[in-house]
Amino acid sequence: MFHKNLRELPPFGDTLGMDWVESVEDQVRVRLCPSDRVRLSKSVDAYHPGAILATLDNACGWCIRQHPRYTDGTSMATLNLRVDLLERAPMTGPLLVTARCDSYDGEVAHVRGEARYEDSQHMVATVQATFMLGTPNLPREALETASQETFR
Amino acid sequence: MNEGTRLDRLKAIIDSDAYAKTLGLDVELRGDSVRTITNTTEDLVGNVNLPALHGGVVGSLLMLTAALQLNVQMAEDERATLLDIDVDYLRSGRVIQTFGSATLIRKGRRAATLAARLWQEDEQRPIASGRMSFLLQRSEEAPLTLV
Repeated sequence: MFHKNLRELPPFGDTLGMDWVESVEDQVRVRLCPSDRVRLSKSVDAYHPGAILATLDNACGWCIRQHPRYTDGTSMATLNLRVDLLERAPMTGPLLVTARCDSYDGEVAHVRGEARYEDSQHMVATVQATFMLGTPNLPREALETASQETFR
Repeated sequence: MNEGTRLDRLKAIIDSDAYAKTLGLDVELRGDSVRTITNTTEDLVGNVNLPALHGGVVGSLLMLTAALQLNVQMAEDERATLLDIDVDYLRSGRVIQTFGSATLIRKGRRAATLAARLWQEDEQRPIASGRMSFLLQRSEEAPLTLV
């Protein structure tokens, strides 16, 4: 799942209806469309901040694979993430989340991004995140088994 | 408001929050302390190889746990809007039952700051912690939302 050209959504991306749009140089764009699954509440027709955070996180992870130094197959996990919600975002149209990798040193990647309305480009949220690279990418049990076999 | 009424109010807010229901969030109240319980499913996974919960799920559970705790400590005519969230991911979240609690750090007239944490099998081994700021406004007419 950690391949440069693989655009397969994680299960939660499918659950929310995220949509990979494009990769341009060091940036990735992901769309989030209005739906009941991402609605703030029955009475407020706005994007849920949790859905915006999840789309920002997803785009941040994807954009690391666009960095020129990214080695295909390198796994990663979010270390920390900060989201600023600039205003409540009514579901008047799709949001376009853009993320770009500012630095990549083999251990850690630093990423920034934002969520804007696709039509007006009006910004509703920003994100700044740090990802650890080369994190375990097998279940703990499988890693323990592999480790035991190494020492046999 | 007694504990049963407050819990009913929290459950009604969750019921009106489709996203919280997508996550499978539920809540318990012990005195003034909120505890969230989430029966996670494969739909919430971010890394299918481990498998691990999506970072967005973890962040969302932290924000919703904090929002529920804040709701317990707000006046009935107060409304909270999430301004920002800082999440530290401490361990990968497995697809098992996940618990959350939050602490009100400060509540002023216009803003509140909370800290929240999530854990799974062992409360002493949190999978994530977070800090959130909320804007507070007084309005009985505005619909009550969590974040």
